[in-house]
Amino acid sequence: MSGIRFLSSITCAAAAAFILSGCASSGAPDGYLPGDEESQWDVYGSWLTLKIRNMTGDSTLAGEFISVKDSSICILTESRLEFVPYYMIEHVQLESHRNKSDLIGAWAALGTLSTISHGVILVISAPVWLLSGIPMASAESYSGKIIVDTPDLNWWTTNTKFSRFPQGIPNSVDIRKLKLKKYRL
Amino acid sequence: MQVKILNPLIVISLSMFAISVCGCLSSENVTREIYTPQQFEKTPSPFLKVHMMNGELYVLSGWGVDGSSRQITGSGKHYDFNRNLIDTGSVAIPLDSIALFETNVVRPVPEVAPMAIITGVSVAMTIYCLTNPKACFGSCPTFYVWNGERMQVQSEAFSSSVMPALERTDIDHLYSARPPNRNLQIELTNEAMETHVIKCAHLLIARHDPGNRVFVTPDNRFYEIDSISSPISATAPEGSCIDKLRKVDQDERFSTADSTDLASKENIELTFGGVPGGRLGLVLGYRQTLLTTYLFYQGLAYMGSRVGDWIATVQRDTTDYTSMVKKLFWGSVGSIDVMVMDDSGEWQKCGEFSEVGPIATNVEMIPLPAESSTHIRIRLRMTRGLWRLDYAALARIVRSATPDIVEPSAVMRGDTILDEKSRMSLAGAGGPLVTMPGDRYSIVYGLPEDFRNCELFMEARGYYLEWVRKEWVAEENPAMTMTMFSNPAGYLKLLAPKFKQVEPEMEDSFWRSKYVRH
Repeated sequence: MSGIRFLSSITCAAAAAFILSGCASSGAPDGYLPGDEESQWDVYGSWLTLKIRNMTGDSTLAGEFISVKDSSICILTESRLEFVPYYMIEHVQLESHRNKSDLIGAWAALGTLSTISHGVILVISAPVWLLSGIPMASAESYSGKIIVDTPDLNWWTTNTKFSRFPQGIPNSVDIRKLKLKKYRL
Repeated sequence: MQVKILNPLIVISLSMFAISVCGCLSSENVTREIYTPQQFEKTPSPFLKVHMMNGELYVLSGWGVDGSSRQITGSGKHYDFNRNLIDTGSVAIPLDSIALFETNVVRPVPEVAPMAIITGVSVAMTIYCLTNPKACFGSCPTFYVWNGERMQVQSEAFSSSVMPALERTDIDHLYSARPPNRNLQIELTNEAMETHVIKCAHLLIARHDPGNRVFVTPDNRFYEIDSISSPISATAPEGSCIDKLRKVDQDERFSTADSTDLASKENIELTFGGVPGGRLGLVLGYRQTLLTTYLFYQGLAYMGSRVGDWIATVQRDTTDYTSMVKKLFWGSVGSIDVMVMDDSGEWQKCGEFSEVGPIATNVEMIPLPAESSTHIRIRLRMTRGLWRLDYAALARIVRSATPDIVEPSAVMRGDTILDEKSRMSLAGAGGPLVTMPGDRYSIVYGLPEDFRNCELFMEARGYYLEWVRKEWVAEENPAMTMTMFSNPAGYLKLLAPKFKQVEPEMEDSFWRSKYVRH
């Protein structure tokens, strides 16, 4: 096998690993999620992306996790406040803070690229970079995220800590006046 | 002022380093917990979010619990239910107005540590290779043979054949070969940025009496020997080196190059006692340091973008330029001259070891003049910093030997047996086998029934072409190129300080940069 073909094989294997391992993409709009440090003093609820099953088929709803009320999930979208019964939710992606998968991906890509300078040892160092960087970036892409299918009410109650009102929506709060974080940059 | 544009690879490396230091090394996990006022105790969280019954929120830092007055105290910010800022400053919040406490503990992600280590190693390798590119590449066709424990590199073929005009046949003793059975499998590899053109790869099998061995001379004659003895003393400029020369074990004696002249010489003197009668030969196990590799690569660097022209010139005029190249690399830095002290106390030269290459240890023998004394003194004269000596012994020659030539019976790549064309290439009956960086073949040879009483040698013919790296072209220097060809002795003096700068790390870097399973 020639060196070039060997490298191609490694790259293909790495690409396959990348595809198989998969990276989780973010459903939150740019500027909404705090960084990991910022999440310590961020005052809003986590971002929810819900896949909902209803009579007319599946739909997607995304917005701030406001609270859990009775057996419904309260979510503040860009247009209105919605209460979604938990049993209608097929899939949940909850994002509490930004992760650094892009940065780690760039780190691994630059690392792989830099092995051009390693001469013959690139045959070793490039795969080392790919095989460490890709799983790392993939793993990091799940940081700050919880992804689950058909969660039960207990799951929602446990994770209400990620909502704006983990104590439940107080009676004194006029829900019609709830506003979304001004996240536009 | 001279402005240099940064090498893109340095930029990449620095970017990578910056990312690792500024960004990803601080990648963190956040653990969020909520507590009721009844459950709450002091936690390590530096910030505390206090969710109020009415939906308002305090985010406090420097906070504490005052048990006696049942209050949370601290300083921070106060938000309404829509998270508009109401107030900032010190507060004391009664516990009975609090719905929940929220803590967020941030911890570094330990999984990033391996990438940080890889970054450190990779950046160091990049910087070293960019600042000293000639240390990071090199080899020639290498042959791995089973030594009883592992596949070991035992032959590097035609190392001096760096262009078609210098094509040659090279015979290497597979000194440590221990074939497990009659199907000897030898691995042929291309482990450098080179194109190898291999015109044959024969196994030479020399039969001998049980207990004897067969050695090859630098001019490819074969002798069977029946006894072998180590020197009683071996003295180098730094003192005794006899412990380094007792067996072929890669515990080698070597020195560093002279700082003013790379052709500067040194002597090692060997004394053998209790010399047996009969014809004797000096057996030496040796290989080169990276000095010739450096000289070769530096020469290519000075040729720069004109390297193709120079090679073509040498190809066209095989009389003058070929002899110039030989004069430079093998005349000026030279061989290991073997001299024996005669009865009148004078040193008489009786041969020279000159196999080129830094990878595989060569084991060769030079027959000595007839000797009547029971003590023999031998002087090895060689260029400082050029040779690694692993083994020296005196052998008694019993007869000449004529090896049988064995052609490959099969050629494999991985588990796939290649077609007859590949086999014929290595048998010397077809076109050449051309290999590229990273290529690896297994060659199978059939051994005779009495293979345990046979000595094995690899006979390979061909040449190779070094891939000129972009970094080298930057050093193009026609004046130095002309000096190299026209005044090799002066060239080696000019180059000495430059080589001394890289000599300490060159060996280490070379072996790390290759993937030779040495």
